[in-house]
Amino acid sequence: MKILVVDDNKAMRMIVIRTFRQLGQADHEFVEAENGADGLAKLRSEQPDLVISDWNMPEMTGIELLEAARAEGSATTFGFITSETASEFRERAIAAGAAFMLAKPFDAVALSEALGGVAA
Amino acid sequence: MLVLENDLTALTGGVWESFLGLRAEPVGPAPPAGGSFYTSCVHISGGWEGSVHLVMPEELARTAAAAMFGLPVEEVSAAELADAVGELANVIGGNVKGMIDEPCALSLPLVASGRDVSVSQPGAEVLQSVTLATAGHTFTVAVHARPSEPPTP
Repeated sequence: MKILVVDDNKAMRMIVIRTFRQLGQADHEFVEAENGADGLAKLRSEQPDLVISDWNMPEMTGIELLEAARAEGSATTFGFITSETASEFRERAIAAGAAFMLAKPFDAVALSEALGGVAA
Repeated sequence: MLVLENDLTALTGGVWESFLGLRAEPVGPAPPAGGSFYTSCVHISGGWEGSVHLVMPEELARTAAAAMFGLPVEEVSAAELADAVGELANVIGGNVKGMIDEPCALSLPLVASGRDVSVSQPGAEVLQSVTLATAGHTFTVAVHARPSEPPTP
């Protein structure tokens, strides 16, 4: 599975990828993007199976990325890992087509539960 | 908005353990040690106005960055130091924002470093501050609140 990890913070991208490895899911191919605009470009060029995105990022936010992707017809599974935990953000994410929204900080168990059957 | 000392301590400890694999225990206010510091803050705006500040010695910032990036301490770059400290402040700030009932927005983190470095917001006052010990160092997390009306001159 190809997974696009979108976060303006490099440390966070590494933590997300490392957490997948802790789940025994090291065989995935990971592609990184440093903001929503970069993520949208890589969504087009890399055709990932799953997008894991932050919410607050410069240039283009995570929700703008999701909305742009859906507007282009992309049905790629999309989940948020974000420090935005308020219900209005979650509702907007789900309404836009997000499969899950995981709050930071998170651990491997929480990521596994959020992923459900999405990645294995 | 009321931020309890125990809540701020617990959420900060959770971030430390989850991201860094380190325990952070509350201690009394500690006088700032000499040397270089890293400080990061995120602003919360909307129904509530304020900011969350994280201050730590450079040695601890280096330990944190090494843990987050999976690198030896001596290989951590200045950019990675700022990245790590900024993300820690971002996540702590996000969790503080989660305590607020009113709709609010969280800013991207600002990071500064140096000796005698501090970041302040005119008119704001410290609502809550906790000092925690971890990995042989202490660090501080403070929540600043800005009154909705400008202070009377």
